[in-house]
Amino acid sequence: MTGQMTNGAQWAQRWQQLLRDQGIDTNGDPNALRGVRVKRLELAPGRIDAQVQDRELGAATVAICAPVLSDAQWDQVFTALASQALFAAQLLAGEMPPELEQVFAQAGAELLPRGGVVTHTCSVCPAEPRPCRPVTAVYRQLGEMLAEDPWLLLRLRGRNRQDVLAALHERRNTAAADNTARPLPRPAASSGQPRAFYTPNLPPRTDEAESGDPLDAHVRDFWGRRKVLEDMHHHLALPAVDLALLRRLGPLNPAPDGQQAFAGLQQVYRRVTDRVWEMAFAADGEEEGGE
Amino acid sequence: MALTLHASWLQFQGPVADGTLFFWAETLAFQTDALSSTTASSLTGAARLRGPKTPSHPGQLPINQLRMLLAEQALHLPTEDMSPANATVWLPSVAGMPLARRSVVQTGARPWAATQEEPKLACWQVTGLSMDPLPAMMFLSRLRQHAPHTFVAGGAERLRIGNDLYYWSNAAKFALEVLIGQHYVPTLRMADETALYALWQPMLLDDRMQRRFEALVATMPTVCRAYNLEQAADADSPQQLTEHFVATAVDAAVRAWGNGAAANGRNGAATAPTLQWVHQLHAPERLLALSPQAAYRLSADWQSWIDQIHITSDANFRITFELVEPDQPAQSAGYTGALATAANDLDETRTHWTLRFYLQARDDSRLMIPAEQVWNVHNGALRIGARRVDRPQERLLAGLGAASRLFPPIERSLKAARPERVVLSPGEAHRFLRESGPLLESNGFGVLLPTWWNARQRTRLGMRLRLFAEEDARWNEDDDTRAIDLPGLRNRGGERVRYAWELTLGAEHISQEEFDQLAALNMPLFLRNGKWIELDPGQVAAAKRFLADRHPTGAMSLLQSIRMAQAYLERNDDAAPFDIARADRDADLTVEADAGADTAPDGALPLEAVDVDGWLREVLDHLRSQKVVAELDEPADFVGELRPYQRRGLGWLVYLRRLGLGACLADDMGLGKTVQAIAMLLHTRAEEGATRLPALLICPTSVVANWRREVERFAPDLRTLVHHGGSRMDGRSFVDAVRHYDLVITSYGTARRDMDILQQCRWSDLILDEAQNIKNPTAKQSQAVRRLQARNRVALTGTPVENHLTELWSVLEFLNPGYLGSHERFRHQFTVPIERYNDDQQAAELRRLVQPFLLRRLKSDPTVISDLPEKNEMVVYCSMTREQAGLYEATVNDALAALDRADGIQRRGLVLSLLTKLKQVCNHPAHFLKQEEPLKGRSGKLERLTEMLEEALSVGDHALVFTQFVEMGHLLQRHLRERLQTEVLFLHGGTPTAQRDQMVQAFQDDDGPAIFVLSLRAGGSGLNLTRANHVFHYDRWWNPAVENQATDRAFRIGQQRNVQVHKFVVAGTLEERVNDILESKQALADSIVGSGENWLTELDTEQLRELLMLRRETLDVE
Repeated sequence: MTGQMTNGAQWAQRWQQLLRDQGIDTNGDPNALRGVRVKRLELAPGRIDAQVQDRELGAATVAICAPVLSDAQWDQVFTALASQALFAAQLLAGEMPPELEQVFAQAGAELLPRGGVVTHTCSVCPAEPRPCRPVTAVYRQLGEMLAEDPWLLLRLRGRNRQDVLAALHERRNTAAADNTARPLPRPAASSGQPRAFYTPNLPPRTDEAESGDPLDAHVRDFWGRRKVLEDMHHHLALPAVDLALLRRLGPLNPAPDGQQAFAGLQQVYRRVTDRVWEMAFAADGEEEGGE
Repeated sequence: MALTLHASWLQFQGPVADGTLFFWAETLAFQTDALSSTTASSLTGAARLRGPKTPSHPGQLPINQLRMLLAEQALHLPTEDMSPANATVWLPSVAGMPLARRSVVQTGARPWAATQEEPKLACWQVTGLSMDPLPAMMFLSRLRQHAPHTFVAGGAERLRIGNDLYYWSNAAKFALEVLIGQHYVPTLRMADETALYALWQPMLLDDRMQRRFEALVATMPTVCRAYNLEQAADADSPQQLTEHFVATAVDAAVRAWGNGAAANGRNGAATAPTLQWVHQLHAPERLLALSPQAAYRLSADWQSWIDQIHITSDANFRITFELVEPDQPAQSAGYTGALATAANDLDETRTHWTLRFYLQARDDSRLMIPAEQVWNVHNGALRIGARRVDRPQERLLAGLGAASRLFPPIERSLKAARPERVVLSPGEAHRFLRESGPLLESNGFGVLLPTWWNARQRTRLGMRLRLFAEEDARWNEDDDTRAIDLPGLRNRGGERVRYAWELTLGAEHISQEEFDQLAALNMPLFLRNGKWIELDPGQVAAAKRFLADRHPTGAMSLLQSIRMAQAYLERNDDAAPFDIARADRDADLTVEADAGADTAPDGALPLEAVDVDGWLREVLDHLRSQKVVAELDEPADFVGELRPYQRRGLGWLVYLRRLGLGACLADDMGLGKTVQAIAMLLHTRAEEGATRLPALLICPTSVVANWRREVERFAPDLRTLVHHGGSRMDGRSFVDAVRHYDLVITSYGTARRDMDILQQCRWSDLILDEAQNIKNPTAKQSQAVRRLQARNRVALTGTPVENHLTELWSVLEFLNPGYLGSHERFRHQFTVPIERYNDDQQAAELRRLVQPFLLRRLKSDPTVISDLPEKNEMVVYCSMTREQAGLYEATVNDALAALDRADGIQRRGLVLSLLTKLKQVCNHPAHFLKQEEPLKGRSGKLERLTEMLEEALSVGDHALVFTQFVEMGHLLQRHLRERLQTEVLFLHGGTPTAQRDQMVQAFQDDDGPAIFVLSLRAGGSGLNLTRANHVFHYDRWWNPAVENQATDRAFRIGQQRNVQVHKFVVAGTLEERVNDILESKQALADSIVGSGENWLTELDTEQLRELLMLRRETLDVE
């Protein structure tokens, strides 16, 4: 099993392959798209609208249409997905499993729009099957966006992530009376001062914790008690499992720089543990009882 | 002047956590002075506090002085890294003055009580020095946990570590735990729309760390939160503030120490965003230079990356895996030794392990919701009691998805629509037990394993060490220690304990053949006799190596066998979980120590058990539970009576002596270590008869006289030579003379000088009194003493050696060389963890190791206290210095000559004045000569008092010191304050009543000074000082009634403990002779001696000469 984000790249590759099949090579001649810039790109079910600035052609509006799947098709897809918890688990973990395409196919639908069904129009270029520079630029941009967020593909086909997850939830509970879908809770946006510790998913702190107890409630024992301070024990121990966190999270992205970054982080953890361990037990001249 | 050093964490405002550690020092003295002069202005005080400008704290030390103070050696503070800074702090204040952190006034008389004014918080300006996070953490983490609370800084100033500083020291040590344990993550923080910072943040996913953090936060003194606030109500919570400090320290440390040489050179801006992020995680600069688009992409990448942590758990519930072993087969064929058939029995049903999935409540681990139940939840949330899990199905699914990456077999279960469990092969189950379980656990999942896996003697391959004694060593079952005869054990260091290494499987020994058959099975987990057995492939390999490389049997010394047994014999702390990693490490170490073989750490065989057979078992049991050792009666020649606990001590000393083991008797001061040692010497003399060698006792100069007197009193038949002072024998004649004595007493100083002579002799016993004198392991003195040859070694000490680890090592190294390993290893394993980090696990470990050789009874022990009288009086014989002796003799001679020419009132006056002068000489030459300085090393009495008080302080005791001379009181106060680095009170006739009450209050207070010097006249009556458990009479009134009255200060109603009364007497002087008279005529004292000293004036000159003359022959002049 590889890291979670690898499949974003996989989907981007699938997209490029699809375009190549249609004779559109977004990775071809690097100079071919020089001077073309996608200023704005909006993706909606079945449709992509973009503003493109072309040095030669000027401002262009590009629209790409790919038909959305019918409700019946989606229904079948959901049923197929719900038959294996794996899909829901992977989707929830932020992955879009590669097997998804197969599941769509088995349900008689297509995740990636087949050649021919995608149409594109450009406001400054004549309509022809071979895409113009602005359209190619939009395709390329979309490929990059998919690498980032493969879920866009599902959206293009008519359902976004929430829809999919809600539908899967519903399928699991077909007998349920109440199957209104709810949006997944997002981690609460950090309000006010951010926490100094990294604390995922904790509920916002209560007022009680926020304000602490007022200083003047402690006038009598303002300086604390020595005994409780002396009774703190510290047990310095090497981690039970080395690099547990990194091993779980994997590289940040699958590209070479992601791998390089991952190796860099591993080195940092190891080095820090070694250095601190050494420092923590270094002599300071005091233990020798020199007086 | 007494100072308290404060430290506080000041937070900087900004997008990322940053701050500085701020030091300032507070004088304690200002309160007393200030209060007396400012009480009149107290009415205006409250108004002044609300003025526009924050008033300056009146008791703060100026920056330049602070800097000098901190540069002192004791603290190791890198002052060059510190810069001047200001802060404001809210402090409880009354009458326009901040209350001192701790002072006589505050803890004592509570001045506001009179005015009915409660202290209120007011804001004060303080100036000090600040320090960057990294050096701050390093400094703080090096403060010793039980540091002496005070340091002597330049001159007479004493620096006390404030509780706030202490708290931050604990927090810094926690930060070290976070760093070493890798409880931190690389993060990104978006400060506004554009600025992105690379940060390291602590993350306490581990429940244990979370609990430890909460425990730390709960101890924060309120004052820590009172800095730099507009209003007192703005204070952060202890948690916020601590998090801020720990986060800042962790970020700074990772940034500084995670930096490899390679990372330095690379230019972050030129590389990909991810690499730039990693680069900025190394660099001093945290801000990333990225285009908005790249920044957005990076933060999205990072967010989904880090979000994987969220999946497994929330504040209420986490996902837990339970490993369930296969059903026991109906007809338990099991493993019966017929291994060839065992493989066939492993049919499907019995090899299927199951991993079940649950949601588990965080705060109540018993509350577990099986996955089945989760799938039956039809609306959004799951409720159990007051707890609520939102969208439990999604949570479970997502968690399973994440877990499947750490333990791929889980993925199989996800092929089903509603996964509840996954079936595992034995190999997978084994991997889960060994690796994946702990990995999941450290990632925030719950893991439940079969109980046998964590059981102390896990059923797995291991080693067992069998220890047994050689045949000729016999243990007589009779409990009378006289009957112990261990001929095989007589020679120290001889290898007389046989050992045998055996391979074990679970609790059973297995032969090589059985092992080979098992290894051929190649099954990591299998059933044997109805029990699950682990056969780790790595351990099988280790066992093969072990069998190939090692001679499985041999001999070791008794000492080594005790070491092994103490480390591994079944521990008393059954509740403590068996630490696999630890046991593996230890086993590795053992094998290493045994044969010097290098074993691969990952294939180490655990040492499952140390089995001890026969009488050796009984010996170890005796040593481990000191209570079992029999009491011994007083030896025949012993004059006097031993208390019951002293007879037990004697039995213990004799017992260890027979085993050839060195013993450390560390009873509390006043419990009679001397008497027990003398009894032991008499006992062994009687036992060894004609073959005996003399014993050598080394003690500090200050107690040579006392030892001589004690031996004369309790063992007058013991032929004793005091080898000390200028007139001692030299080499040849000493060696010749020694054989005519039973005991030689010498001082450490003399022993050092005469070491070559002492080394020429063979000694039966070598006793070190005040053994802390050899505490420095590298000092010549310690090394020389260790080289002396003696059959038996005993150390006596009254300081709790177990708290002074270097000292403990040194003493044990003297007693039983090699037992605690090299000093360097000991330092790493015990000294630093215990002294710096207060590591209770290591402390317990060390106690176990040392316990067989250390007998320490406290005055408060129930078994001891019942044997002690309420008031335990003893005479402390002190020696004189050469200077004292000279002054004494000159004074006596001059005065006696003058007396011959006088009579009547005049003679009477001369006698009284002579007595006073002689007492002054005995007290201190400076007292007699009316000098201020120097005090150290000129008076045997003062040296002895200092040592005894030091010992008393080390165990938290409190003492009254009486003198009849006010001048001496002043000298005592100053000397003790400087030498012992503690607050010393002094009350005399001139002390104003108000102050007198404050002192008494202060002394009685829990946190008050521990030493109170009183002039006999002023303190003799009307005071209630029951907190004292020692009373010292530094000089004598010669009137038992007056002395008793003074003693009774410590002795009022409500006194719960025994009081030790120490009466100081300088040997060989009038003090000793008058004391003898008083002692012998105790009953008649009042009538004969009358009150006071007038009876002395009635003596004629010859009688006086007899009484006053210095007895050179009993004098132990250095």
